[in-house]
Amino acid sequence: MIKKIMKREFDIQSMIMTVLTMLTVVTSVLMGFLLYNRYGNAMRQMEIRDTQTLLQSTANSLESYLRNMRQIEDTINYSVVQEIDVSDAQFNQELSLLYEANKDKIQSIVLCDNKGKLIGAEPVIVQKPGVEIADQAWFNIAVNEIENMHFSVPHIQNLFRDDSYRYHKVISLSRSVDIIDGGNPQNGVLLVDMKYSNISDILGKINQESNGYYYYLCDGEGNIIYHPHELELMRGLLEENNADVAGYKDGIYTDRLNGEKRKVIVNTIAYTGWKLVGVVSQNTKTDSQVRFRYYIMTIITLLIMMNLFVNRIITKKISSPILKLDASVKAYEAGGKKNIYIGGSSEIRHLGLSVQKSYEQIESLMKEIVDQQNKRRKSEIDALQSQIHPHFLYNTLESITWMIEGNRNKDAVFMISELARLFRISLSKGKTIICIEDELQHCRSYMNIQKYRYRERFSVQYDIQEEIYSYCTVKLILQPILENAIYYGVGDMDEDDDPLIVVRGYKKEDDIYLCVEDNGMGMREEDVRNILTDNQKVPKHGSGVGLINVHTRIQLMFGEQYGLHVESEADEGTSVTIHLPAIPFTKENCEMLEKAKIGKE
Amino acid sequence: MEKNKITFLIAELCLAVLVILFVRHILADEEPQKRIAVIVDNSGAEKWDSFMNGLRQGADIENVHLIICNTDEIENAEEQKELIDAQLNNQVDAFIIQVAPGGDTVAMLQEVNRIKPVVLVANGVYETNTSDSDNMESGLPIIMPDNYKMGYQLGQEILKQNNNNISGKTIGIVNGLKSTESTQDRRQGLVDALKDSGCEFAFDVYTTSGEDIASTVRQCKEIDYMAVLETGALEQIGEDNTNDSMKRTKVYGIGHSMKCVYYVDDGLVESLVMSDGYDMGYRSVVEMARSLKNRFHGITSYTTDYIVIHKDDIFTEETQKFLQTCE
Repeated sequence: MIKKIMKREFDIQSMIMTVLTMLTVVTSVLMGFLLYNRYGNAMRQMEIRDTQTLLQSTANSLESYLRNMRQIEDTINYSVVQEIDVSDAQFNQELSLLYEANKDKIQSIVLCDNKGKLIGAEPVIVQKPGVEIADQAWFNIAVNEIENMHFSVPHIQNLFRDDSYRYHKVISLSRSVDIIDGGNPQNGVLLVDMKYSNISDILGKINQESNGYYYYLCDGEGNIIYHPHELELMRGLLEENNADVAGYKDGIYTDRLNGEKRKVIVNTIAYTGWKLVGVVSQNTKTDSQVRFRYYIMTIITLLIMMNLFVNRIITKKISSPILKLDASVKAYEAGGKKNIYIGGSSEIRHLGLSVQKSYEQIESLMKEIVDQQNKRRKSEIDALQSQIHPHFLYNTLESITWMIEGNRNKDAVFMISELARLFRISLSKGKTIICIEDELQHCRSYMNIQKYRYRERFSVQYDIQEEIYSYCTVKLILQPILENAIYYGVGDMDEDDDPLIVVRGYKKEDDIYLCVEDNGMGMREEDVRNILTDNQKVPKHGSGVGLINVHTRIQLMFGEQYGLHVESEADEGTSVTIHLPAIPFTKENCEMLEKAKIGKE
Repeated sequence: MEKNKITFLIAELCLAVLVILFVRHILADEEPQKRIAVIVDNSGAEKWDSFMNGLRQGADIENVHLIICNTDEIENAEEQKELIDAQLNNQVDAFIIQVAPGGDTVAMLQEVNRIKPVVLVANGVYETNTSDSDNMESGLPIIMPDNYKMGYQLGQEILKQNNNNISGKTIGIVNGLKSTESTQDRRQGLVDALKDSGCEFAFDVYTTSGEDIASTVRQCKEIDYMAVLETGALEQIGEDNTNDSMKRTKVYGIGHSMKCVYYVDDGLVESLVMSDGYDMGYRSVVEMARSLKNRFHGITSYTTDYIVIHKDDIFTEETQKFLQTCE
């Protein structure tokens, strides 16, 4: 297909336009792409910065919340647990006061001894039967690592009965504490169950506000604390790189999830080691990015439209003079007007002038060549004609000589008179074209001379339409044919065989035919075939050039379709027909034919 | 006109059309969210919590607007049609519907489906006599659990919990609304599971609208095992059981609420077969949203999963993952 297109010929306007258009489109698209890419990157950087800021702010909120929880637990520990005996009624009052003050954040406060026996709880509710505190994770970690506070991952609280038949999702903050029970100091575990909803509300809010990005929270081991698609993750409907992210330090990372490239911003929460993670997908397109893409596409399209318009004007400006020059050259070549276009830029103008000058020179040279050709042809014709004269003169004078030698003076006079008439026509004031009437007169004079020479051994008949008298012919075309008819036809025949030469002349349509027939010995078929060619195999007698001479002269004057036609049969005779165009014998026609510029065509 | 000129004009025209299209995109307002109406029986009931969570999460991901119709009991096709007409007037784009009881509901829903796409949830069309969730008779896509299998599973649980030895024991069956496909299928599954056990079906009652099924059951003769096949009924009987009204009777049930789970935790219910309401809600809204966004996306029927919960495994990780959707 491409090869086919490449092979096609394009005009210069199409080529320039195509190249300029391609350049325009490529440049514009490239420019648009770079611009969009630059803007996209800038936007993404901005979004990452925004995400960082939001993450930092959220981390601060979470830290503040967790600090608050720690402070509550510290207050319970230092102001209540360590200060008041658990068996004292004041203990429960103080615990209740603290719970009431913070119950929007706290699900429950629990104090148990180091064996897992419940000492006190707020709100005062019934422990679920069969539930062993000592089996619970928050208790064990507090007992085993007494020096720290421990934040658990979110879980369903499984400690107390709930009259509303509900379960509560909590994050447990537990620590080992020193208690006084009946005056005896001992170890215990203080548990503050924080409402998970407080954390999910903080993170839910930023996820709601985000546009195509999301934020999640996991602990230091990658366990999800909050994720906007937590349920889908649990069910395997979605995936998350939380296990990998848990190992990241604070900063910006690039990772891939299911082939999708993402920027992951990590911020570690103090006290807990939790990781607050912001995920910015590289594939996510915000509304402003989408709109900007359409802006760019609109600008690029407008730019291409404008460039196409300008390209067309430039292309026309460049190609129009070339096309005009090309058209004028083509018109000249087709034989039309000869004015070569000269215009446009100085280069094209110069080119036009050069072409015009070249054509003028070519025309001049052509004219010169034609003149030379005409002259050469004329000289050829003249040379051919001049071949006849000496030969004929020799024969005639030989005949007259024989007559005078034979004292046939009367006949000699007649012969000389006929010869004089013959020469008059032969000369014809140097003209090549004569009327048929003169040619026939020339023929008669010749035959009269020959008949004397041959002592009337043969007869001559003329069957001529008078209407052909006034048409043009090349002079001296019948005489060589008659000469051949005598020499090779009837000249050597016995008188008893009635040798006869018939000269016919007639017009048929737009052509004239002059026919010389004899009933002589005829010719072989091979001789007939070769007689009009310049073939050396055919013996040439008589005028020496014979029929070829006549044939060539006619064709040179009137064209290839005219000339002689020879028919012959051995012992039957020969017929030679001259085919000429019927050109009326007028002064103008004679002059034109003399200049060899017109023909029958 | 010369060829080059025509080509130039055509190119300019095409580019101009492109410019107009781009400008339209720039000036166009955001495409309005597709609106999907959800019509289920007693929509505020706790049994729909996980289903609603699934719906909301799916709607959030697919960016569609949910209209959850506030309903009480929907007793028949006529009541459901009224709700549907109200939402049609509200210019919703699609419906997620729980089929109302009655044999004439399907024709009404098929009629609605010709106007707006409909996905059925929770139960299939009544009197289909098939356990296949892909209901060929209605021609409507259905996303729901395999109710027959759930009933059968409950029967298996009764056998398993009693060492496959319940011969001569009495069993009472408490069904949901009588004219629903889910009730039929669950009951059939239960009966099929217990048919060779040698137990005796002492009673077989159906809930009716507004009725206190616990008092109905109290009037029945005392039994060894009770199979409760509907969430609302199980909640009522569980609550009644807290009053020690049925000391001797072991209760097994099918239910979808945290209250039912709590009864298991409290030992009031021995085993609970719980369907995945979250998945039902999530899939129904996601499939519907995708169908609305892409007309070539066909909604296919889907059978959601279920689990069996006992007292000992409520706080296992697997069960917790399942139960989190109910909060």
